[in-house]
Amino acid sequence: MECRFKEKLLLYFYGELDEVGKAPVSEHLNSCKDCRNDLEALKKISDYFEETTASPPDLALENVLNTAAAGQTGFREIIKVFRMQWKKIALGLSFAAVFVVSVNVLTHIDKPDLTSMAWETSAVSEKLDSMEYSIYKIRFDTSLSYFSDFDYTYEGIQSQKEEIEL
Amino acid sequence: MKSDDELIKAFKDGSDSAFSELLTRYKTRVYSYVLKMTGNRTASDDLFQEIFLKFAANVNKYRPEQKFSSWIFAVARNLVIDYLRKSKRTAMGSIDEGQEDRPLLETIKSPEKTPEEIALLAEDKTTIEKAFEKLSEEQREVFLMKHYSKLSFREISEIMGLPIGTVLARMSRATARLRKYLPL
Ligand SMILES: [Zn+2]
Repeated sequence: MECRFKEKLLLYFYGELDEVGKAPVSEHLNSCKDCRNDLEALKKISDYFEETTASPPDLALENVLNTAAAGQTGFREIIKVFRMQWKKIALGLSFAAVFVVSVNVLTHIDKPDLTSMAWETSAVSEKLDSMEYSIYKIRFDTSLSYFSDFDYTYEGIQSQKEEIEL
Repeated sequence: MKSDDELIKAFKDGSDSAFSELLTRYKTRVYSYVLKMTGNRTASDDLFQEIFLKFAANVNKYRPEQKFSSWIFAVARNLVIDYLRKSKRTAMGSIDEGQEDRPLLETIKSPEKTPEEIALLAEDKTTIEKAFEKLSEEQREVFLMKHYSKLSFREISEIMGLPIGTVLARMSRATARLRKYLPL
């Protein structure tokens, strides 16, 4: 025969009943030995759990703290990289704009004298070359520093990505 | 003392010490739960780190209306279940893996007890351990979750995705079973 107070008894033991809910359980306990035994078993097992708590090793704690801190830094780094790089990117874009405009202007200039045109063309292409080189250089510098930061943060993100997969 | 929510907010704002404080607050409860569920130290060390790093990586998605203890124990539970599933599969594949599975035998002695008390306690402990091992995994889970998370049965039922009545019935059956093996 199953006593109908069994589940109430759990709420009673773990302090999840208000005064109104507690009263009938207390009263029932006076007359039901079975429930009193349940209560004693619950007490024993709770004490046992309390006596046998375990702490993680220091190394595990250190590892968690360091990785979490590095993760935070990782996110901060990404923001910092973007803040720093946008200036370089803007500079690169303005050079590109100058380049496009110059090419447009130069190709539309009327040049009656063919020799002078040839001379000017070579001078222009020389200028263009150097301009192209500087744009290339900026792009290269930008990508280099960007990717070295990116690699660093990417590793952090990659390891975090694995954590995120719930 | 700062609330969990305040610490989480500080951690979101970049305070590593807030994270450290949260870790200190929950490490023993979470670790004890994981260790008693898996019975394996090495696995528990790994799982423990995974649980807290998952929180650190997802802190920006953390909703303040969530209770931290609910969140962390839900993650702990999922990872433990995954681990148990995997280790069962491994155990079926190869029996001799040299696993150090000794559930519930990990204990910490309180220093201020007399030798008689320790002896008595040790005897009591082995009895309780043996009784506890007679429970099914689900029954053990609800006991350990209840004890170490300190969450209400309502909150636990939400974590487990079960009606509260089911959780209470499971625990009640577990208690009855324990009693059979405990000298009262
Ligand atoms: Zn009863």
